Amino acid sequence: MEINLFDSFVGLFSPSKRIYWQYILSSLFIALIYLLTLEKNVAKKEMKLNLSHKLWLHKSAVLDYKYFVLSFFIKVLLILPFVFSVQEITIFVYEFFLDTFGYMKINTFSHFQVIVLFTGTLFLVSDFTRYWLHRLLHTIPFLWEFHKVHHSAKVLTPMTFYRVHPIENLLFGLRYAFSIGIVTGVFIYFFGAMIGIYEILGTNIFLYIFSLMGSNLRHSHVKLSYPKIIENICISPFQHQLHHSTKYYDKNYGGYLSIWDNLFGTLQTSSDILNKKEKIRFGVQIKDFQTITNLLFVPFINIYNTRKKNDK
Amino acid sequence: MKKFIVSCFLFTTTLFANEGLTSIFENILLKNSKQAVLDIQNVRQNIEKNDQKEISMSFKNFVISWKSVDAFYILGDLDDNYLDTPRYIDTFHQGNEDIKKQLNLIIEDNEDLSISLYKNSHKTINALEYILFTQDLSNERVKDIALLITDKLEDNLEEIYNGYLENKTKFLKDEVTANAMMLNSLIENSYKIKEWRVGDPAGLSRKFKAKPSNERAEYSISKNSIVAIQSILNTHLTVLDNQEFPNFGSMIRSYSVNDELNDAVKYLKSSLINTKMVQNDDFSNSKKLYKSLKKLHATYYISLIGKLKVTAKILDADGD
Repeated sequence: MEINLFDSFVGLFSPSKRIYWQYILSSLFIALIYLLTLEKNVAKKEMKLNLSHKLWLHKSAVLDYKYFVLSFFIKVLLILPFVFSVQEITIFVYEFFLDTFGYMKINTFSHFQVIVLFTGTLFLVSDFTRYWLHRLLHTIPFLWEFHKVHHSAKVLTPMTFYRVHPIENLLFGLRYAFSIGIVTGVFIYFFGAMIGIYEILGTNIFLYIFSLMGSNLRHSHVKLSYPKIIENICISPFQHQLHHSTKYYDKNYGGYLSIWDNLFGTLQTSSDILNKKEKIRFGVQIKDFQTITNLLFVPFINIYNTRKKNDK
Repeated sequence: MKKFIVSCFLFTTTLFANEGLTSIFENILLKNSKQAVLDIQNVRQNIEKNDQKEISMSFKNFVISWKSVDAFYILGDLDDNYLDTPRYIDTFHQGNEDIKKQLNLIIEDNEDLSISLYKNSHKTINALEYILFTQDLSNERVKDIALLITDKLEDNLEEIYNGYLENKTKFLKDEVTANAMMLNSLIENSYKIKEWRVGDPAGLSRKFKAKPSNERAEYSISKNSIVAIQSILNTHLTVLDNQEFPNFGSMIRSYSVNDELNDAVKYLKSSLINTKMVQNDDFSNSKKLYKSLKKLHATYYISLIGKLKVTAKILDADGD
């Protein structure tokens, strides 16, 4: 498979990257609109906070920038092999169905309907498996040690998105390969070559639209929330910020959709918190994760220490 | 300037695609279905003459031309009304009824044939094969049955030919859908040829593992099963690799799936060579053929998965 290393690294020019220039620009635009809707003095305060060099040059933010550079190499070395395996899983699933149930072809849907169904299913299944893996990263103690790396950010910037431990990268790579591979295998079995993906600039249309809806504000201090009815369906930037708080980190595990949180009892909408004017703090065990070496090795040390303690 | 270059590129690729589709339509879909009509007419003429040698020869030719239609049948995908037409022509792997027994009863009966031969399955190539190769055509009733079947087959094949003509614009206007239909047809037929036409009689398929029986072959009565297989493989080869006219192979080369295409052509050719090991429809020596067909089927769907490019699309969305 051909991988454009330049795109992977720079990200700004790749629509499959969170920091693609269009997504950043749309986030800036949405943030601006949001600030315009606030009362003048509140807007001024929020503007000051979000443009402050104290935020953008905070030790935690600088660490994110450095780690972002490193994360490129981590992805190339650790994730790529799993990206390849999507094809293997697709073939395995297709052959399993073929061997078990024989040849089958569904003719009742039009080409257009099959593509819409496939595009939507890929997005839904991917978001669903993201929810569960994310939840497991919080609830299984040894996985939490790795996921803590992401939650150790004291301030949130779009680059915090990339503050992820390689083990977590690996797990998400596997999740990706399995969920996409299984869905594709099943669809090929039932619809053969009729399947396809609706894309914008080479990205799943749903993903593109959701990414355009202020995805970069999730890791920011712009407290943009949606009306409760929408927050029951889609995660707002503020809902994700709540997830990064020290108090609500066991809520809002969803990626783009909050229906999973709603369904499995982990939803926290914004209105209650905003109405109470509750102050939220970010970052867990900040002191343990001050350097790149810390980010990479502290989880292993913590797991080792816990095991040692338990053995006693 | 950049816009101009992009427009020129799009124009030439569209033009090339349309040229490819038009060529496939004219040189494969229409030509093959017309040939099948001519061949069944020829069978009819020979039945009328009651020349057994000529009947055998013309039936073999009809098997070849019908299989070339069946091997690349996309009319059902183009138009729902034609989804079942092949089933009215051929009952291979359709239902479990014993048409031989039913045809014997019809022959012995005196009822008017238009009433007796009421089932579609009674008017298929399989019924015709049974009548032509096991019954005495000097018997007027048997001959009438054979002629009635050929008439019905001709009607259905004419329907396919006219169906393609009716749906020409639909086929040519949407290249993406046309490509999907053609690839689906290749995948479907490569599976059927591997599992049903070779695997089942050879005892290599999952269903009949280690239980070979040449009677399960598609045209075991007339011993034209391997001829049918060769016709299907040759049709796929024409679709993917011929120098005479633009084809599906030349179209998909523009999607940078050259390796898969070369592999498919390689396995088609090796499968055709391996068919020569099956003599007189005896599938006991067809392991090599089954293996090459298995590789062919895998190559078809792997190229499809490769074409989808589902990999590395949403990876960056991970890690919230």
